[in-house]
Amino acid sequence: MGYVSVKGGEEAIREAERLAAKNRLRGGSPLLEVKQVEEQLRAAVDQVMGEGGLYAPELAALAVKQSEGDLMEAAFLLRAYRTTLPRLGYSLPCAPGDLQPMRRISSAFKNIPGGQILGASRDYALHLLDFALMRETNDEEMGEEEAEEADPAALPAVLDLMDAEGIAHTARERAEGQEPHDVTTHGLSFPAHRSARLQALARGETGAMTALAYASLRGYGAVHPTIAELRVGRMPLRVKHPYSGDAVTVGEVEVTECHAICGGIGFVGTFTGEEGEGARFPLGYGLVFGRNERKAIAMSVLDRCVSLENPQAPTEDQEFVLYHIDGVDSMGFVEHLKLPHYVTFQSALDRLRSVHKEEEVMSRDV
Amino acid sequence: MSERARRFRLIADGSDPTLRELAQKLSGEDGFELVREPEVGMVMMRATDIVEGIPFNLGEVLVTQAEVEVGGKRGWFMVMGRNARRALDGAIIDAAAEASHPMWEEAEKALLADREAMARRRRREWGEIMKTKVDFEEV
Amino acid sequence: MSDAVERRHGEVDGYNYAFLDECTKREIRRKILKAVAIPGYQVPFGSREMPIARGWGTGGLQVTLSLLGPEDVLKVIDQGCDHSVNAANIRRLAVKMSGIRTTEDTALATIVQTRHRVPEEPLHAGQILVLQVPLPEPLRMLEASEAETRRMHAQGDYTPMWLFLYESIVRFHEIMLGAGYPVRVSGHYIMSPSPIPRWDVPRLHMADNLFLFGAGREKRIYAVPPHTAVEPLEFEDYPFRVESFSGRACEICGSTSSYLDEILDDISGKRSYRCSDTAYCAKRTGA
Repeated sequence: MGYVSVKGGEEAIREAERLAAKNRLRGGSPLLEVKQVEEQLRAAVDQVMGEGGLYAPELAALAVKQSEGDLMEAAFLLRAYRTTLPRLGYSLPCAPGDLQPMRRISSAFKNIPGGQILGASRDYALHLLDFALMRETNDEEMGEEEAEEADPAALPAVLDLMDAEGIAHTARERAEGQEPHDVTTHGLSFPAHRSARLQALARGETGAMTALAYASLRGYGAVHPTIAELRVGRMPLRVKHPYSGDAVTVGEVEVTECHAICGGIGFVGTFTGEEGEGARFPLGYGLVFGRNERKAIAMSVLDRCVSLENPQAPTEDQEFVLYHIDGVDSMGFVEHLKLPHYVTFQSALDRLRSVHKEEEVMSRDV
Repeated sequence: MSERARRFRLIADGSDPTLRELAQKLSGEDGFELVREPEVGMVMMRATDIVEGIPFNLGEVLVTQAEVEVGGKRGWFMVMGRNARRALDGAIIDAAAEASHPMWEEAEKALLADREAMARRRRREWGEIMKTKVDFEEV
Repeated sequence: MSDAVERRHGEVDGYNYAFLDECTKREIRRKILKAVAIPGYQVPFGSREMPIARGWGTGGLQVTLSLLGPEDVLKVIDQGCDHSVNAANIRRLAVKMSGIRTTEDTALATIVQTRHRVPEEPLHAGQILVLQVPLPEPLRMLEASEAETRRMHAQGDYTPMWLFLYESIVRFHEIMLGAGYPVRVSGHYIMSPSPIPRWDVPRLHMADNLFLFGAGREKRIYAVPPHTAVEPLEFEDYPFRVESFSGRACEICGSTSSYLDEILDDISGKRSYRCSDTAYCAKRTGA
């Protein structure tokens, strides 16, 4: 028989999985340990935690290993795992001032109180392949020279200084009693509340967000900011103690934060401010898990884009941006085209053939 | 700050081996009773945005919590990550302290030593970071 | 059912019975009840990430898993077939997470999850058909904005849809809609029946069973309760028509009254036809 009906799908799936698993190990090199991924592929781990919406370095590293470096797949693995976990509670909201920086820079001002602190950065390293890494060993000296001990200093936010001068308005006062929207339990609805927009951006896919922010900078949109401050540091996870009710710090989460002053380049015609208060620069905010400066900057651009009152460009359309930056949604739907569509295609064929038939009849009539 | 919260911070600064050792000592011969199995779950981390000052859900953090009873007193502890051992040890130490365990004072010293070691690591780290500061005066 | 019982029935260590945690199941059940109360209305829900990809049936899967109890019997089909790779995969997950009994016999199932087909055998009262939905919004092809399409539904502003159908007739002398033909539910909301062929659309009308639609990626649940009017959009002079197999019959069971898959023989190039609903076909031949 020329055609065997599609029985045995289950068996084929099992064998396909077996083959994929086998291919990972085919080369015979030493097995990758999860700890190695966690410590040596940190950019991947951080990106996966951010897009997965779950801060869990060990599991993110496991996901990177399991997906063989497919980061969208790894973020998806984390998301699917989080579906099975109970939510034990909510942290107390941390404020930008709670961040203990390990790096902070400003592109708006040369000299800022506390200074430009580059921290661990390769921003100015030449992008040349380092062939020395091909024969790297553990014994190599890091050229370690003892640094002097110093007490970590609090660094005043650049924006606070601008606020004091009346050129940018930050919310010093926390808006009390507001329960934020949660897109993980209620999905998005439009127009989206600011808290929902920020959450959707924080768990968005780095590549998609970079592309859309880039589109805005290039002209498909009017937002092209100056970075008041970019910080990488540790943010405390504070919860209420169940017995005493006061705040305790469970641990620290590494984050990247970006404060963007919008209207800084090109068309400087987009000031905000209540009447009588004077014109001020509008702001964009980015905050993401892990060290992911590209995404934090893109988030601050897109935050401003989707907050505009009169959206003009696709990058300023809330639905266009927020619906399409989710990596798990986009990868799933694009790849679902691999699934069988025999029935629907048959239905479409029926329509087309029926039109053909009609055309034939008509041409005969002529 | 309550004594509970102060103690939570102290235990949180302790290293894994210290917590392990103290929990073994403090639970003693009578041992401890589980009030709740160590539970892996998530805490939704909230942040405040700078533009409007509103809270938003940044993302969830994987945590483990445990609750035990030692000498008739309850203790609770929560750690980041999947770590039932450390959550349990922390809860045991918390409960034993609440039950005024005779060895608590000694335990406190060990925890304070860990805290000092951690502070030193942070000072050294900051010293290293400060070397990356751009000094415009020198240019 | 109590949590303890549910846990006992769980098959995989570390996962709750039927994968979803109990709070999530309760939320989904509440949204299902709302959907049943407002036939054809798309109820937003907090769709969870599942261990299969978005767009691969996560909406249907969440609906199914939130309904499954130890007494249920599950049937899963894709393109009408129990053994299609995606159906096999979803069934494997449901079984792994709940130890649920499964069947290929439509009549024996309490819950049938399906993609792209409604079984040929009519479902009876008490059975639930769960349909996987990729794009729940029937107006999306006319209007990209979700805020706008929700407004259109709320105000019954369906003029653009009628205009679209009219233009299709002017250009092609046909309504050029294949699968997923839009229907009007209970004389009110226009609804996408999911990409089932037009062949299956009449089965939704005044049926004895409940239809639940789950769209995971788009985060919507909707329903057609039993004995509800479901009418395909049509004009008096251009009535709705199902796919035509013009007298062709299934080469296995000889059926001339079922939806057929077109099969191209890779050697002879000959075209033949077989029932898309493989369980129905098997039942007819007594296999």
